[in-house]
Amino acid sequence: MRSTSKDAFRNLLKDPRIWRGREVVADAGAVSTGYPRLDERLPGGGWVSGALTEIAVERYGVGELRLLIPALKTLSEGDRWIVWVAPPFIPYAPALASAGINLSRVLLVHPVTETDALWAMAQALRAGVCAAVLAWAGAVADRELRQLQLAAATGASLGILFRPLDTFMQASPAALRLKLVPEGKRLKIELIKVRGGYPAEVWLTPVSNE
Amino acid sequence: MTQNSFRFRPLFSRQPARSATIKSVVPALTPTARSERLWLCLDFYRLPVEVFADKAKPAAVAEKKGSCRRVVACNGPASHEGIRLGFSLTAAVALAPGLEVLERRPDLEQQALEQLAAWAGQYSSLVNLGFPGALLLEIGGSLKLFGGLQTLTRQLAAGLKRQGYSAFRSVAPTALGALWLARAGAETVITHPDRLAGSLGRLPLGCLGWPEQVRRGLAGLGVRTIRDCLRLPRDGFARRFGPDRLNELDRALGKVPEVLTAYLPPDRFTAELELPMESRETELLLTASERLLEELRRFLIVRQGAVDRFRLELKHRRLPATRVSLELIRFSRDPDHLGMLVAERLNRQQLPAPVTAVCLSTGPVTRLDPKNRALFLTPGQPDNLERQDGFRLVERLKARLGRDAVSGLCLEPEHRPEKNWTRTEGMQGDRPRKDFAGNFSGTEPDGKSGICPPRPLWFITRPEQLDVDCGQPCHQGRLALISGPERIETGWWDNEDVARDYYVASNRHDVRLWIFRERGGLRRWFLHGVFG
Repeated sequence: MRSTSKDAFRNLLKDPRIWRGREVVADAGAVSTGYPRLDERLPGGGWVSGALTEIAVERYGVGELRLLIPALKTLSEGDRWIVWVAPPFIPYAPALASAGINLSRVLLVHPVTETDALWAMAQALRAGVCAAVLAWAGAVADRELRQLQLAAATGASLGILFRPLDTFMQASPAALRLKLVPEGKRLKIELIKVRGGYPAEVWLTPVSNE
Repeated sequence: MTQNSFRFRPLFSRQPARSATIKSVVPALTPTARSERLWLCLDFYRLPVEVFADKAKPAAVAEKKGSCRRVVACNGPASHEGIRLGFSLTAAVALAPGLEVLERRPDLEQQALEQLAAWAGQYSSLVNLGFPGALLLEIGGSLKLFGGLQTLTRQLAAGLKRQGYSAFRSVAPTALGALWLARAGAETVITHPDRLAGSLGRLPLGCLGWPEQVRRGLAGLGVRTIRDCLRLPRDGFARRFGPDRLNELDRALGKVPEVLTAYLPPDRFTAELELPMESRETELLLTASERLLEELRRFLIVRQGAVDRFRLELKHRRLPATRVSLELIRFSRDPDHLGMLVAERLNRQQLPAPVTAVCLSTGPVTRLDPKNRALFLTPGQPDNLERQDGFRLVERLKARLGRDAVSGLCLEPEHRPEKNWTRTEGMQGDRPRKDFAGNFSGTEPDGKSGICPPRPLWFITRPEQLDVDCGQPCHQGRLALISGPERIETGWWDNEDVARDYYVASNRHDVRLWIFRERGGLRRWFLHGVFG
């Protein structure tokens, strides 16, 4: 009697319709953000590889790049690339080098249109040869976000999409969504959506390059 | 005595090689040499009609022979109507009133044969083009690689079908033997030399391709098959019909060694495909270029080569051709990858007029040495395959977005902010470059040692002039100077002298900016970077 109920339970778990929260954490690798306080809030203990992360900022330059620098440094030590799609300005090579990023792994892509930018991002994510793909975009349709998320999962790349705050209200299939608010020297990170975790707020001081 | 016995010895006997007299005239091949060679003949019996575009209706190629034009080849529907080779044209048209009659194009046939020879080179180390309308492949050496005769012939048949050619295939230990068997229309496979004479003996003399006069002479003697021919006395046969005929028979039977020259494909590739109709449709152009790329791949496999650049010419009726050049980062011969690059380019190509033909050409082909890959992939160790994919990604991005849209970054030994970094081609490789302070960029940036002045993560290539309010620079409100000045000047050696004082400033949104003030002239303020 007991064994049959156990079997029934096992069979139930095999049902593809059952979603178990820990699977998300188990299947994707994570890269430490370099900030212990942020790491402990994120499932897997860092930025999730093989998934899309959306970062909303009111204006560029509040420290969103400094937030990513420790992770990028770790990733650039591998053999895969870090692709920058349509950055608003030129990433300054001497600053990146002094932050410890291996420049020979950096690839800049400057598409003319937003469609091309999203296409390039999806290509880079899907190719599986990029450790991280950072892209800057405005309004992105839900379908395109889904494609990016799929591409990131296929290529096991860390996809990071920077978007302006005003386009951030729509729902999104991204695994992680965060909003950056500068507060003096510190940065408030609002975790809006965390797949396999809980929304939270984290205050931290990004690494300084001044 | 010897002479006499030779004279009356039939050309063909059960055990010719045992006789001492024959040995003196005919050099016998050693058994090993015999068993090594195996020839496969492809006789393209429909080649004259198949060089034209595929036709669903009856079509025949005619050639003037004597006083009337005769059918030299016809396609499937035409032979279904009852048309046979050698029919006079009037008879053929009477049989099939809708028959399309085409003029024979020997140049196209030769071109097609050469293409087929290049293609066949992937199956054999010796491909011979010496006989009209047929290819001879030495396959004795290829059997092991391709997993046996059956697999090899199946692959060949599938390849021919894909290219739209029909051929009779025969296998024999001698090249001429294989050729004759194929010409007879029999798909015969003879692997053992002892069985050769028997099978060849049954063939009618028509398959030998001998001149009409010789054939008629032999027919007059009542000789209709090769076996009849072999029963004739050797020297009489040689005297009447020429020693060359005798030699041919000996070669076919493997009594005399054959010397065949191998076909060598040219070292650069050019192929043209005419479109069935003038078109601007990208789809059609892509299909055409895919076919050309497939040809290119076969060509490259034979040459064991790869290309790093190629050119597509889209020909128009009156205007000069539109040229599309594609450059790769790494040598490649993968038609899928090349096709994808072509697709990206053609999708963006503006065409001044409809296209009539597509031509694909490459420069000299580079030999591609296959590299060994590790059997087990260790994580963290770069795998060739993965690196290759990396190049492909760059090529794909460049093909769609343009050459300049994709770049890498690199440090330069310089002190001026504009010049101490450059863009690279996107794949600058891994050569480390020394920067001004002697650090190797990319490998060990020495960020912590010494006094490292602040540098912004975002750089503004063209400094943005700032408004000044009460002597203070403004950018979305007045800026508060946080640190500085850092003086950067001179550059007299390239006439781009600078004299600036750099500051780190903060605006009211707490965004850190990198600004500078000119030391001479108007002493204006400029924004040069954002700390991000």
